[in-house]
Amino acid sequence: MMHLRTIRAFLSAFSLLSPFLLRGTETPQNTKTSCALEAPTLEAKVGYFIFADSKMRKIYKHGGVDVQLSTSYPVHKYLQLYLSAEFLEKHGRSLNSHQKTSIWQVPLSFGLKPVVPMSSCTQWYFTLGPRYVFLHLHNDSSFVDRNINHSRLGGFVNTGFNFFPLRHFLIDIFGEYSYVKMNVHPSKANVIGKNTQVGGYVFGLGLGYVF
Amino acid sequence: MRKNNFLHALRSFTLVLFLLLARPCFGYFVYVADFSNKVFVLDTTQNNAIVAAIDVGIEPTSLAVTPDGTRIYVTNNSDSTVSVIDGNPSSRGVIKVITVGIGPNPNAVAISPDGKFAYVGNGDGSINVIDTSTNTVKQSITGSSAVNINALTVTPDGKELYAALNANLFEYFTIASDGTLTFGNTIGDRTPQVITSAVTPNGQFVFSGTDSFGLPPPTFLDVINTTTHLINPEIAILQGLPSGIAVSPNGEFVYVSSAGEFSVFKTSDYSLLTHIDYPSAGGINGPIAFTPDGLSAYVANSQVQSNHVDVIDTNPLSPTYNTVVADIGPFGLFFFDIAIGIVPSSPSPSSSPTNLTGAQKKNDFGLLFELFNQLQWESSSTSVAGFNVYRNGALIASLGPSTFTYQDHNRKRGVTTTYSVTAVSSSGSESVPATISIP
Repeated sequence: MMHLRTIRAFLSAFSLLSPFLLRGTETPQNTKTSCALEAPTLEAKVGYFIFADSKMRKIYKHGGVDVQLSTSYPVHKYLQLYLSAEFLEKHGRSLNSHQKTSIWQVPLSFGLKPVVPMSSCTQWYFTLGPRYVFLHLHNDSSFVDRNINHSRLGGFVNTGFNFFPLRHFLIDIFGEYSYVKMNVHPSKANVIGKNTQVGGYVFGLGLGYVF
Repeated sequence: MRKNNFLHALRSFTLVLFLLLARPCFGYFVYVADFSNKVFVLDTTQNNAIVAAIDVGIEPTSLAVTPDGTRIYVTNNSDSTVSVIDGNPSSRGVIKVITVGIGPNPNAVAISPDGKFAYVGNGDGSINVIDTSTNTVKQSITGSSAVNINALTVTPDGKELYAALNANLFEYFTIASDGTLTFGNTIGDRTPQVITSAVTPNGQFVFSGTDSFGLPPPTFLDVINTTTHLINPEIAILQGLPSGIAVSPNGEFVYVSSAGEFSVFKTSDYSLLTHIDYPSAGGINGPIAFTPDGLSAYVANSQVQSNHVDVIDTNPLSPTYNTVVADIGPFGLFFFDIAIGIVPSSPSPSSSPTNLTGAQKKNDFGLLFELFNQLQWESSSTSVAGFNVYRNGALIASLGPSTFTYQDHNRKRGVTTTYSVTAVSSSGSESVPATISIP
């Protein structure tokens, strides 16, 4: 719990202060490393996912790998449209009986992405929007439903920094939070469904192409 | 040479000393089937006191005990049933009544040497094979004729069954590994009916008592060779029905009871060893059973209004050898049969599970969960073969001796459930249960 509070505090402080911290690194636009800050991008991201719900964290003890494919399209000098498709998978064990369980999620996200240039080759961004999640749950147990498929609409927010070391190349460092509540309906007798927050936190790195 | 002689002498002395001093080291239960529709139970460790009188079916004409002493099978002639009695003292009683299918008037019963099958002979000449693990009839078979079966004997190797018919016949069946029977053949043509039978411990001979039924004596003791299936020379005995035959556990003597006298023959040459006098004259000296150690024989002696069980000292080195040393009774109305079983080695009450605890928990998968009741117990006994778990009186699990927890899944919230856990011995007997209720 302390670990997560620390992460949240760091993210909040970083989001608030970063525009001012990084402005000092601004370089003249006519340098050899001048970057195209208003061009579409296509990016592949990989991150480390942690559930926001404490019960889910107990069941799926370790972090999972989250992979994303995202694209940004500028509609204004300081505003972009953001689209991404994601996949994450985690394995765990049920509480008290320790039976194997696995969860797969495919979130599809759409959002608005304001960008703030920090220098000629650095920008800070912030994205907010809805997210639709497809979920598959597999339980290695004869006492509950073995397979459950469900989908639900939620939301997400992410923030990070893009670095443009080369003309058509970008490096992205990001953090993300999602909120999606799933309410499944088991078919087996004496099995009860719960309304559970299946979103969480992702921290990762992306590499992209600037068109 | 000197050393060998010394060792031989030492062995002989030890054996003599043992036999002289030997009294039954183990307790036995003596079961007596009586015309009062009861099976009386005598405890040899309590000076042959009657410790139980178990209600069975109508006219219990014969009974047999499994080798481990845990089950007694009683044929109830008039209602065509077989009562199965639990031989464990702490749970003694009828645990099942089996209706013997196509065979009415069961009159004879024998148990296979491994205790897995009970064979019931019926009034129509048919034989039912009962699986003792499930107490269900797995086969019904008729031999050569539809004639009452008076006695059944299984050879010690468990491969043959001999049926004594109420006609001038014996017949034998071969026993398969699954306990089922295949008719072999008929034996002999003695007149007119075969009453009782017993087999030698080596399985070589079956002795049968044949009644001349109203004809002038003598009555016969036939000897069947189980290898040739032919009758060896007959033995003439004195007057009356040979109502009981038993072969001593060492195979050396056959004891025959008939009205008015009790005779002991040597199996080596069929010569008469001795007659045994009874304390009271008259009556019908009925069925005989030996204790497994061979030191005593119990005889069901039925007289009008004075039925007794007599105990004969059959220890050859005893000063009271082949005399009646105890006379138990009177009790009952008329004795049909007698059998002796060892005391089952059941777990003692102290080996019952201890510290039984339980609680309801969630088997939580995050998006869904189910409720289960978790039980936990301890056991201090090392002789436990396993544990049985019961839910509201019904058996739900049989666990190994190293398992001390159990999870009962898919429970309903708010429903109180009562669980019992028993320790089980290697013979299948169960301890007093430990019980808990989980809300």
